[in-house]
Amino acid sequence: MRIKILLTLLFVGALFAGDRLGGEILEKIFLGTQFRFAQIYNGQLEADIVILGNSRGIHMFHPPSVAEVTGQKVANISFNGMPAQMLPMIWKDYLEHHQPPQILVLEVSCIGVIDRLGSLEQFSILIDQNPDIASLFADRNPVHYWGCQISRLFRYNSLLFMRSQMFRFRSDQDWIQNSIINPEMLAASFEESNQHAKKLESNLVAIQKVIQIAKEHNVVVKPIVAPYLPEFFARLEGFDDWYQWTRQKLDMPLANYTLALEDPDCFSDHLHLNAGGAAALATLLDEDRFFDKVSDSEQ
Amino acid sequence: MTFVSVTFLVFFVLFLLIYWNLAGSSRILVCLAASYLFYGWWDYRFLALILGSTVVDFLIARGIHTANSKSVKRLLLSLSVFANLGVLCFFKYFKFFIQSTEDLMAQVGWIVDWPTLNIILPIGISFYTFQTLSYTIDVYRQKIQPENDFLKFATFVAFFPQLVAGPIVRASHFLPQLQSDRTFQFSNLTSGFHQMVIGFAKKLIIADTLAVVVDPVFAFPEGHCSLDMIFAASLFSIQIYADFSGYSDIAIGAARMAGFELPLNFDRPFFAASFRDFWRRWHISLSTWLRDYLYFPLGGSRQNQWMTYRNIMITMLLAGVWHGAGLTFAVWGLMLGAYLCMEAMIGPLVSQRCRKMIGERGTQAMGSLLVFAFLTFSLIIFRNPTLVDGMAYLGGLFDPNGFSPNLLQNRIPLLKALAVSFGFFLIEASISWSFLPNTYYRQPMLRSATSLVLLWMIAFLGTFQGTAFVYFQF
Repeated sequence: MRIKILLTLLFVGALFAGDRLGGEILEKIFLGTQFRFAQIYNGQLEADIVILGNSRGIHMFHPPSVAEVTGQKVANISFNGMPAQMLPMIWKDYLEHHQPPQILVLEVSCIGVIDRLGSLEQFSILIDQNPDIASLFADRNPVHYWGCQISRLFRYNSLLFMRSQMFRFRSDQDWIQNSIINPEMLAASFEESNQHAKKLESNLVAIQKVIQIAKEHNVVVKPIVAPYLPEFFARLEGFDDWYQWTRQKLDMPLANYTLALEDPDCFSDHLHLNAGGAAALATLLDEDRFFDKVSDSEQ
Repeated sequence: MTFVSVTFLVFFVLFLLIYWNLAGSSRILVCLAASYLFYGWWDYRFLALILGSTVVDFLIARGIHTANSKSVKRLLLSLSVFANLGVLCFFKYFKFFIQSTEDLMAQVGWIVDWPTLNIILPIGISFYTFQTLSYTIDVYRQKIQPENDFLKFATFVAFFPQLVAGPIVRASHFLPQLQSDRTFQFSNLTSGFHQMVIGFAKKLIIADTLAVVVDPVFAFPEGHCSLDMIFAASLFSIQIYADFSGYSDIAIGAARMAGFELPLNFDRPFFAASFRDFWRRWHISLSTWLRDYLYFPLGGSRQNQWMTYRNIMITMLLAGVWHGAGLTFAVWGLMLGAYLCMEAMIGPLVSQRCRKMIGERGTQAMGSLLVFAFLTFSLIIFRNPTLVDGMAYLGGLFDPNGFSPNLLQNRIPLLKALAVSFGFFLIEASISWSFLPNTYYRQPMLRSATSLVLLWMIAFLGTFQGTAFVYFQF
């Protein structure tokens, strides 16, 4: 019996040891990529202009396009489905590993977005990098958090990790969903329930924190609401009210480009631009001197 | 309580600790209590139904055994069949019949609104109903003696590992195991654990990962290209196999850890070279049940060719309808029946020619591919909510503009789904083609090492979205 108990303990020991070892290896593999979050923690994303937001942050500000019109170094640290509450954490981590940029472009429509199921969980890969992210997990999804504590391999069980492997030998800064919206996708977008601009206090607080951190590092913040597909925007209820509320709470100018692009060919779906649309927006913003180093409040 | 939950793991560990510290009838009592707790966790009202079914069949079987006249025996058997199928039909098909009749009458302008009683389908009803039904039939056929101990009989009906999704256990297989006290064997514990880990891996790494790709496409096929739809349909075939066989593996493993052996339910069905072979490997406990209690009594293949085809079609139709109320299931069953009939008609000739052209292995591989393709085709009907949706999906597969890889959606989940499916295929192939040395199966250390690797893979690759087992709905 003693041998059997010993064998069982050996099995459990091997299980945990292998899990820890596997976690260590996966962390090295992840940090060895040129994926944006790996680059943030490796200090490889030095830039003059940094862009922060969720998927709209990615698709509205395509770094090659912005770099072309401004002639400056651009880094986009936004990500698909990134919860607004993670933005200050990612921003802080960026500043810890890099020189402060001159401008932070902050796409703030995420204030009105309720996080989709699993949108936070994909970031479990970053729990090791920032204790604040770990705390957010413990608060928002304790089961997932404890899963990550028990198993280190489980932290890397995320689409983000798989995505990072696609950028092992090239940077993901030029990545954009480069398709054109089709009528079926447009019809499907109208069926989505989230067609009312929501005033989510907790998200607003997170954005305020981003601005506060930026100010502490003397970074000029440029909050903006980027374009929507006009047909979708016409159905988005309560936007004006939401915009006024956000602007008042942020207590700074909030650029409104919601209807800046009318051509549907600029959009990959109702919320996101494709490469052509992002280039058009970058040109428009440059013409409007949006990327000037002087903050809007000083102009 | 589903297998894939922390609640079940806690429940199961506690069960084993208590169970193995008892002996005799108290051990069986614990087994029964645990089974009722497991089942009642979903809805305590279901317990009344399973208890009622247990009492009825327990008494009827004893009545059949003690009755002297053949006509009384037959009457009692009819009563059992009526009671079991009546309950099954009421819970499973009542709402469908009411709604179908209403729809039909509405088409001729007669609007009626009958009460549908908001019936909830008790989970696992199709499984335990067939289990108890086979018991009374076997007693009637004098293949087995009726069980005199109600506790043991109730445990046979409600045994929690296989209660909600099989395997459908025969009384002749399970009741003898209850007659003697189970003895604790460490090897049973480790091999049962290994089997459970395999089941969890099939469910979490394969089935639920594939569901992430499959579900959105079937929910909204109009928004996806033909290539997406072909991938989703093919992956659904693998998903349903991994899901259901995963459940069976967990059930078999859990039972073994408690000292019981359950029958094999799946035997690498996608390596079947013909549909006949396929049904010897897929949901074996149901296919053998239908064979023994329906196909053979109808005459099987003993009569002429056309009667054999008729019997196949009736059996497969009922296999389809067993899965649920709806035309999709009936049509699915008929499609499978048609495949079997066609195979019986032209199969020997075709395979003979193929053997000459591409040899034995080539013919087998070709057969497996055809079985997979035809099965996938039929499962499109099975998976869609209505026949019209199924036909629309089939139509969408052939859009000439929908084959560009640029149109694919959810590419990373798709890539993951294809990768795990390929890995799964390699493992099944290595078993089928005997790549693994026989010593592997005899070495506990190798089994433990496999369990370790699978547990690491579950942590790293598993999908934990709480997706229910597909067969729970049946």
